[in-house]
Amino acid sequence: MGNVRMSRLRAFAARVLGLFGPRKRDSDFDEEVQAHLQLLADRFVAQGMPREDADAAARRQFGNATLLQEDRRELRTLVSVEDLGRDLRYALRSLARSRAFTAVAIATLGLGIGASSAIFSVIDNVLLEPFPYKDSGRMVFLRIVDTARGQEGGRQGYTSNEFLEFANLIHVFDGVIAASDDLVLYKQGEGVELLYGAHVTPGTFEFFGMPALYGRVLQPAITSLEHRRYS
Amino acid sequence: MTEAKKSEVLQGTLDLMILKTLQALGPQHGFGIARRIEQVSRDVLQLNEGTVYTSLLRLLQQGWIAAEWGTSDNNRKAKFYSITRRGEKQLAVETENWQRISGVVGRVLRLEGER
Repeated sequence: MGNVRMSRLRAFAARVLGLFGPRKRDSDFDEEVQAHLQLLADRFVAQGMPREDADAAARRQFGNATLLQEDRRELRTLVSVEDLGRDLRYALRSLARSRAFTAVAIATLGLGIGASSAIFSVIDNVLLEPFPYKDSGRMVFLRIVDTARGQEGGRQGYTSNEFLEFANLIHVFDGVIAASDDLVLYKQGEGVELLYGAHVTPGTFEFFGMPALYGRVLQPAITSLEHRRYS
Repeated sequence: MTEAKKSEVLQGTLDLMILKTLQALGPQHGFGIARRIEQVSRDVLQLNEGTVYTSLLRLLQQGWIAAEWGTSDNNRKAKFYSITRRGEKQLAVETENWQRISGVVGRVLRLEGER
């Protein structure tokens, strides 16, 4: 069974190869056929047949060479692919002849494809891949719940000690970060802007897989100096 | 049916005959193969010699034979075909198949009325 499949695969591979450079092999084959016909005719002559009759007899015995050439072409290449190439060339020629139709067709296709890809990129951003972070599907937001009381909700804030415990003692996470938000005043030239800022723990940018848009990300050497803890 | 009528070569059997010819005689060109089959079949088979080349191409594609340009006895350029190791294996398998099938067909045809 496997043997049959292998040999089919090989024949298919030979045909795919046949798509490239088949012309040389055609002439090879012509040469072979001519030699064969010649040898057959010579043989008939040697048996006492007149030369002209011998050539005809040789062709008869050989069979229909044109038909054979067709069989070979079918065996050797994927005829459908060759046909496809011919159809493509024909289509291009027809399009080149009727310019107006071609322009309308291209405009229609362009608008259609453009609209579809715009819709897709919206869906992709909103539904499929809404966050620009690396592996956003693996990020979780932890919440502390008192199971004894069975209350819903729980607590989302952590003390520094709780965070350090998560970060240093629990190894089920690849990384743990924490942040507290704060309003900051950003002074630029003449004016002052109010921005939402955040104090973040070291490794936050690496955690999200994002580069800093401006300046540089937190370096361990600097942050360890300012490793202050609030409770 | 006249007595002198030659049998057509059965579909698929030409490949087998060519493989066997190459195994028995060593590398041959197409003409040589056609002569050998003609000789062995003692003019019983009706062979369009061109079909030998279609068959050779099929065998080449399967990797059962290999081809190489060489010079024939009378100093003509000719393509020589030889059986490959894979071809030998295939020949063994096909030969067994053929013997089994022809054995069965023979037995069926020999059946006398046993109603």
